[in-house]
Amino acid sequence: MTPIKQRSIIFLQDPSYIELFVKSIEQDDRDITIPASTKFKVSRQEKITIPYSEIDDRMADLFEKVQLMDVRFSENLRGCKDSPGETGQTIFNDFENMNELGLSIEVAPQTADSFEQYKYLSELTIDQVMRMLRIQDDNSLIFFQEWFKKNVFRIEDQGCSNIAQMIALRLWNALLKRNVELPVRLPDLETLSGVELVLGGKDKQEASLFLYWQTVNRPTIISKKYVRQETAELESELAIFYSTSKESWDYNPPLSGLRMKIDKEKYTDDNKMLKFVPTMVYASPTHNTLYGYQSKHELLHPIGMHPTYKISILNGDAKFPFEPLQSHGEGSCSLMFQLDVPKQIILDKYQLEHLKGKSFIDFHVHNGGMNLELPDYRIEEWGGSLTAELDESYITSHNESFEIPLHLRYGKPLGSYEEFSMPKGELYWQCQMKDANQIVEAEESFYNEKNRLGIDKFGQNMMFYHVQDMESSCSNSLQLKIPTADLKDAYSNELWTLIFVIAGTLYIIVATVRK
Amino acid sequence: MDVDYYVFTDAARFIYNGQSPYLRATYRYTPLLGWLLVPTAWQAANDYWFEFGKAVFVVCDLITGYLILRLLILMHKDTNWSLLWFFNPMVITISTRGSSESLLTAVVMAAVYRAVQRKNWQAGLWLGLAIHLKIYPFLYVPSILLFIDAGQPLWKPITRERVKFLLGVLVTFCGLTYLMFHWYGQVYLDEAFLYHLIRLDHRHNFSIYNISLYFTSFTGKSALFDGGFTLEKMAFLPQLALSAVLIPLRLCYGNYKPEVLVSSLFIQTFTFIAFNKVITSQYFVWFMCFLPVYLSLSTISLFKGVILLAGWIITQALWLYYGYRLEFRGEFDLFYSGLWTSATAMFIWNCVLIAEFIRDVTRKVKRD
Repeated sequence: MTPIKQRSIIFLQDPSYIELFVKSIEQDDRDITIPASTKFKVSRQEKITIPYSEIDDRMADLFEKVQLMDVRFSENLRGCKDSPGETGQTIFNDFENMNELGLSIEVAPQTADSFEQYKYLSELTIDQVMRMLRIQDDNSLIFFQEWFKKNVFRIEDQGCSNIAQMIALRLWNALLKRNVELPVRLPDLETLSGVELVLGGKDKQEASLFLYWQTVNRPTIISKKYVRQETAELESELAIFYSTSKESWDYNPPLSGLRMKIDKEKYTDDNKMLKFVPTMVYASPTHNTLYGYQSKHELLHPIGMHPTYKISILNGDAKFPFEPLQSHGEGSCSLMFQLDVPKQIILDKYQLEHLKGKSFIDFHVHNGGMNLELPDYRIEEWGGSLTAELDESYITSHNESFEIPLHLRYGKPLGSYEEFSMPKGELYWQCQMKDANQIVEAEESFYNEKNRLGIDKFGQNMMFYHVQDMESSCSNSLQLKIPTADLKDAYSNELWTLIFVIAGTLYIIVATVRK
Repeated sequence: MDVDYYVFTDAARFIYNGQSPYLRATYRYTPLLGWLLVPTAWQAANDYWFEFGKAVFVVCDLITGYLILRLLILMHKDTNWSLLWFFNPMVITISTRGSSESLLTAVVMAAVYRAVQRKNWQAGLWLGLAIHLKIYPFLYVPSILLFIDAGQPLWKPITRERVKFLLGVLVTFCGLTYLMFHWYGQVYLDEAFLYHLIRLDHRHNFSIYNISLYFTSFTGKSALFDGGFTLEKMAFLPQLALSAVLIPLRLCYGNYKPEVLVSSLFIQTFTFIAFNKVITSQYFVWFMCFLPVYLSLSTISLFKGVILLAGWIITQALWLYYGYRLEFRGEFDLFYSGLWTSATAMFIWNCVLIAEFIRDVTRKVKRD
């Protein structure tokens, strides 16, 4: 039986507290308790790799055909109460910079031999995932880059305080064919920031479930008992990392810390206290947070039905150049912007065309060719995406900002207004890795996820430097309201319209025929 | 810049690259317009070419103005009335922003000018082209038919000259439409003609029907009637009954006077727009080209004229005020209380104007 593998990473952002932190780790027969306090800024990630042999047969069959699928969920963080500070560099830069909102499912079936089959398998897979998650959504998927994508920006609260927790539990329970307990404690799941499910690609018959906590505010309890479940074999590995680099701008710092393996062989009735061993590794992450710069995302006021989305680049530390330097081993870099919008918003590709030669070098709007004029309730697709290559020199010479014109569709006439959230876009540098060593390091890194769809698959051997949103810790969306009519007025409106049209017609007829 | 200008120029770029103009979403015009604007696609050589279309539209404004001037001379009227077109800020703004309406007014005025000159075959050819460019000039067919051989009784409608005119209309309209269909296929008919019959028009505009259309587009049915009957399906009835039947019959039957024909065309167009499911400011140019000739015979006093004009402007300004608050400030609760009430006020005022214009022309005809 191939075991389910769990990898828990705890990352301590401020290494100066490492001694105190390690001293505060407690262990008893059943649990390891990792401390949390305001001193210790801690992020956490769980990666649980499930072999297809442990997955429900029908889903495993589908996953074998599909091979590439990425399901992501991020809670809607609706805004910051206090002005947030700069988030430090961790190894979880891919999650921290994702700027996702709600649920995103991307599928690229690798065994399809025609486009029809490619689409059919994509639709089937997305439908199955939606069923697993018990989410009702009739919007159709769009062809995005080279695969199909569906977003559900708003998931109704179904009596669950944390939707991410609900997603994680439903995925786990529906995927596994046997009754295996999710090896993460329920109280921890309640504070989850994001969930991702990635298939292993062509070579690996496995699916990886990622759980991510941006900040951990209460002690993390790692239960050793999970490895002793009778229904499945589970191996666990716990790592606590911190950066030992003296340079704060080091994108690939050496990581020191402690590691512990927990499996049935080590955790026995005779040996219930396990030992940490010191460790030192390089994560060589392909996703980095750009040093010295942040981005600010806002809608210019007044917003109206034609909002202007402004993205400004904030320079916190002038000693760093905006473009990541070739000293990191990369060749040419492109400044990119990726934005997903719900169907309430029109991305007018013809209007965006006029940004070419200004802030845009090139762009692509993926919206399944949706109608530019219809109200949102007549649109079948979930929304659209914009991928733009930006002209850095134009932007830096124009107040270090650029604007994207958006238009709102008319909404359902069910009250005064329709409220919705738009995810903030992702601003990042995409650099082609040229150095062979760097490519090998990135490929062999224990951290990088090679089979993730999304911007990772826009090119091969890419290194990403994200210009982090200044509010990334507390806001990943912008709020919009569409003024709408109220259906309650429909009867009187139609009646009075009819009366006035008849009266006007009669009045003109009288004027016409009167001698 | 008018959003439509981007639509035309994008379509022209497709044509320039050997593709169909209908690859450009929301291009709902004849391909002729795209062909005419192909030089706007020569931007690589010179950015000024992008403005070529606006120059064409301004030239069309001048041609329209010239034809108005010729008509006034032909009718022995004061040519100063043509200044109302030449220096009309609305006309100037609409063309220089890139709206193509002046192309249509030039063709329509060419048809009217030839009809007044009794060159009926040529008048028919021009009018056929106008209908091909935009459907609504078919309204002018009954008035011009009544004007040709005006002494002919209603029960003996067929005359040689009328047949010549109708043949002219059919030759250009059917010929061009067939050619475009042949070259561009069903998409041409769908976009340039059929779309206008099924369009939802949920986004607000001056029309009194607008908010009802918004509700119907959501519910798919009328709030008043059962079955598939909706208000907008009925909208054609009063609109065409008045503008294409009743008004031409009343004003043009037995009429030999060209100024009465032009006045009838003015009132018909005004009525067609007032009762339309969609009204935007560009549409006003459609009747403005007839305004100088109409005013040259009008008996409406200056005082009354000022009041009528002020009412038209005020009701429009009121609507624009609410439109601005909704569109650019995103304020709530304006659809029914603001937009519909002001659109209704404008509709009522338009009806008052139409009745006044009809009385004015009949008074003038009676007096002469």
